[in-house]
Amino acid sequence: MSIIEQPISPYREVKDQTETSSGERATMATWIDERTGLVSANRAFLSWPVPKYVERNLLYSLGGLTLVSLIYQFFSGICLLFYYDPSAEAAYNSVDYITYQAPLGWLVRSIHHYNASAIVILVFLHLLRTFFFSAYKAPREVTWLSGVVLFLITLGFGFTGYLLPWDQKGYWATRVGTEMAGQVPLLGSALAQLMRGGATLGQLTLNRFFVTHVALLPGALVLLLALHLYQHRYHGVAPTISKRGQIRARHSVPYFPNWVIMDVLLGLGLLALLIYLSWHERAPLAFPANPADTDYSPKPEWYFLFLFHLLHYVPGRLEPFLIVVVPLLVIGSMFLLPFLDTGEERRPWRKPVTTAVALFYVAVIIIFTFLGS
Amino acid sequence: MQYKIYRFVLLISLLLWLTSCAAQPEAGSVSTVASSSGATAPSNTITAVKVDTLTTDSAAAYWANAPVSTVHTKATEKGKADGPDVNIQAAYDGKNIAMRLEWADTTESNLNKAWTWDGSKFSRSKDLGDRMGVLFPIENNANFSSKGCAGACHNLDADPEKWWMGSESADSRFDLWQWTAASSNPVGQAQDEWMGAQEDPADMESATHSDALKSGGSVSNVNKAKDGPAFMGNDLSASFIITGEQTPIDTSKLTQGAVIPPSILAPWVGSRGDVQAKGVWKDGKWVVVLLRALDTGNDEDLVLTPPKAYPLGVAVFDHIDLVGHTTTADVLTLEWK
Ligand code: HEM
Ligand code: HEM
Repeated sequence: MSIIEQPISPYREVKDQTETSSGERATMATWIDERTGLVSANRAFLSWPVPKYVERNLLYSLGGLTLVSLIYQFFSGICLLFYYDPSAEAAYNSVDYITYQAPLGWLVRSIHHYNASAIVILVFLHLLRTFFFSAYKAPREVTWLSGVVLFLITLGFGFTGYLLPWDQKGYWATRVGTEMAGQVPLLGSALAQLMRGGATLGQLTLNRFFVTHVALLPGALVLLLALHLYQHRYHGVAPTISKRGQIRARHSVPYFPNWVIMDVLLGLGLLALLIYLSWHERAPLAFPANPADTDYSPKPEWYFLFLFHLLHYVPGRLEPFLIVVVPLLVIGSMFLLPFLDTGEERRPWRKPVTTAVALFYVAVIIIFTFLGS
Repeated sequence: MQYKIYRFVLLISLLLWLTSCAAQPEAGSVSTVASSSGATAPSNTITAVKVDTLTTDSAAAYWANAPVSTVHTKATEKGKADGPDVNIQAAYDGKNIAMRLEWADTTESNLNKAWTWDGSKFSRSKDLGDRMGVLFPIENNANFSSKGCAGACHNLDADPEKWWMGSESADSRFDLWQWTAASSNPVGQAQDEWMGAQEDPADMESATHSDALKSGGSVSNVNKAKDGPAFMGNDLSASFIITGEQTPIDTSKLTQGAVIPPSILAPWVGSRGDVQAKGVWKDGKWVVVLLRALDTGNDEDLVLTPPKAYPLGVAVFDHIDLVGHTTTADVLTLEWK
């Protein structure tokens, strides 16, 4: 006879009382499970059957790897917070201390620095994977939409993090960034004011970027990620587009270890790479921000370079137009995609227009990133 | 339906692409101001190379592998001629940094206000010796990091007597290594000094302080009546006298026009003597090597922590006073390879 009364609950299965009664050893796991239900929930989570085509397939590890990379980013970010001081006077000195004096500070900051780029690349590749596999199609629209928001959050992390060391690089790039926002027709000045907390970059700007970077965006990311991953579970893996995959789809394998193992191994590989890069060359720190130094030539983080460089090619009066149109076009079409491409066809080569538009965007981004660098 | 919309989007994108490729960058726009390409000119970056052991030998083999940065020096006074270009190299080992500086100077001036014997009496010359200084902020300093020497120089007053060098606040200091041909070079040192905030507006050097001294240093070579030197060197042809190598002045041994060094020198012991130096003037140029511990352990000194990049400035005094010295116009950056 089980020691626990089992009230009827919609959230947990009522166990067959006789199963756990006399004769069975009450292990720790059953003890915990009887009280929390976590062990069987975990078992169900891990044994989730997934189609065989995800097994040992790099393309299906991109989402998992992004997740692992985000975990590294949270961990390193929290470690940085032990030393980082978000005041305009002390921020630079605190990052200087982290980079050159705090024990292993160089490693933590460099991992956070290189991993920020890794996340942007991984999210982008994961986005391309799910795009080319048409995984945004019904009923997975919400998975895709939450993904688009996650993508924007990731870029938001990159933009706000860049200012935090309060060095020349971050200061001037942010100054240009907020000036660009200020050029948006109608909303511009309110937007720039909101970002800066005043007419110029100062303590309030740093406060806002800091809070956004370490509280608002992490909170939003966790919520969106929960939705994203729940949707993924709820709908299961989207159908494959390859013939070989379709044959393999007839068989399923458990999520753990068959799918997860690849994510874990790649995650360890990524960590090794981050440590190597950090050891090879620690995260750069430019000289401290000098608002009076108007000769300084700003350069944004590489993942914003394409937009920055695109501006180079338009006459000054068209800049406000470009600043609004390019992001609206790219992000807008990402949001609209699942509602526009509603056909049955999943193979990209059979929907040349959708594919061509996407390839065009990717080409513009890549070409202008290289031209700008 | 959706294909129509996509075709439309594609068309707009293509149009944007074509406009963007055809249009020329326009001056004054946010983007052009921003990307008129960034990094400081390469010659303003001094890259220290890693070596096994450092010496003050300017001909050491490793200098052949150290990149040379040629930096220009400009007059602090408006309208005055520029100074020489200085070729700078740097190297470091586990404990020390060495900098090799080379600049053209047609005259070797290694006496500073020396005594001259005219056959009956001594007179004090007004001639100054050659000098060179290297300046680093000790604390992170946004102003100096973007302006270089100009960030420490207060030379806007019309009256040069009111100029001064130093920082705006006492908690932002500078480390100054001052090499002088007349008094520091003979003892194999550059004087280690620091600069803080101005203390006396009437004294242009009131922000500059010598680092702490335990013993040593030079003493003035002047007799009690203050009208001539008290000592002369054992070697009368030398341009300096080292403590222990002097004898009381004996004018009978002097020929007319003989020059007697104004100080009796001894190496500084203590924080003031942290910087070793060796300078040689030959064929119309000075070659000086400075050598200092990365971390001297003294509070008045900058701690150098490779691979952190440091801003610095260099000044050359061609037998001239503070107002007449020429300094690097842009900030220099010390990096490590
Ligand atoms: C997608 C996630 C994130 C991205 C892309 C990101 C990106 C960045 C970037 C680019 C920097 C500037 C680093 C540098 O100076 O080179 C930065 C700094 C910083 N980040 Fe993050 N970050 C993320 C998440 C977090 C989280 C979750 C935290 C903490 C809760 C955090 C805390 C910090 C702190 C304290 C700094 C300032 C120290 C420094 O600049 O090294 N970050 N971040
Ligand atoms: C913070 C960033 C993100 C994380 C951590 C993340 C994580 C994941 C994971 C772990 C999966 C399942 C494994 C996989 O298919 O790779 C997944 C699936 C998916 N993700 Fe993301 N994702 C992120 C961003 C995005 C973005 C930017 C998009 C697209 C705009 C997106 C769209 C999708 C879609 C459509 C699926 C379902 C794929 C399928 O069923 O085959 N995700 N995501």
